[in-house]
Amino acid sequence: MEKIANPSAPPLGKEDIERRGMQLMDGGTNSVEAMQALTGMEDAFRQRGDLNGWSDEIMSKIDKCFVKNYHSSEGICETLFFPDNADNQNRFTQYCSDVDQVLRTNIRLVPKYAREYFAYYTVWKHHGYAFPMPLGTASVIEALNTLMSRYQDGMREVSRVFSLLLHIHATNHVP
Amino acid sequence: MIEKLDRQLAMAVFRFLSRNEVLESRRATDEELLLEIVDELRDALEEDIRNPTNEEDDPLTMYPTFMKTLQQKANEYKDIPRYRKLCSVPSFALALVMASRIRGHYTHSSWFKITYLYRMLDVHGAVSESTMHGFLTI
Repeated sequence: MEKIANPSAPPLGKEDIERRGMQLMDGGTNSVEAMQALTGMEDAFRQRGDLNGWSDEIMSKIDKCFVKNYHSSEGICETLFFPDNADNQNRFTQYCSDVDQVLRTNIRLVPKYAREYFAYYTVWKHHGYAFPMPLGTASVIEALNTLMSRYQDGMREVSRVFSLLLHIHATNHVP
Repeated sequence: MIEKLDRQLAMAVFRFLSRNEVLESRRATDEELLLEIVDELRDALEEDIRNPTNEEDDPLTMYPTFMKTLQQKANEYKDIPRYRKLCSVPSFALALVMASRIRGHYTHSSWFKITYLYRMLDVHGAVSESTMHGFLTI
């Protein structure tokens, strides 16, 4: 949220960011060009803004976008935080559209360049994420905890495998 | 009168006066204590943000005042397991304090309770990047 509150004007406009983001996500021949075009955004995105620019009201509206798209009568969507999953990506696309609408309809109540920096944030592959990441509002944190608690054994298993890999890596590289 | 003191002392006096130490019928709740700890840690974090170090890789070395205050809190609450645990996992505490900077949204959420956070810590724990790095270079 600090980065999206960045007070400096971004080097690209929202439409440009979205177009380049699409090219990058599609992974076609234009992706290298898109990557270069987004370099300026990467530098700008390092700067942080004032968190006081986010009111409770706006945070609550953004949070509701998450609840609307990732919750159902059966509870939290199981595909959240899941890599290469069409359902998760479709939900994220709708979530981004809803959040952008919140930012657009409350333009005077949000940081000046929030729409541009949010558009850049949504190019999740460019930020090194393995799956789409909704903004970390209160319900997202709760959902993360719910899913991790539900799959504790799975988490431990992954963790143990990961530790084993680290151990092998370490023992193979010690002189 | 409080305003005449320097900022840090003024905040300490203000929080001391706000704390209920007397009335048995209106005792401070667990959540008020949690908020008090988070507030103090946030003051430390904001001081670090105002005076940035050159460290950029590890968030935990970027915020020395926060880390020092967290250590003090861990010692202060060493006899209360829930708070001790919270103050003994720096990456978790840092994330919580970072989140508390947008105060109402997170501190009024259903999970901002010490019992809930304690369960979160119990399930997830934390492995910082520097620990991983240390493990890789053993």
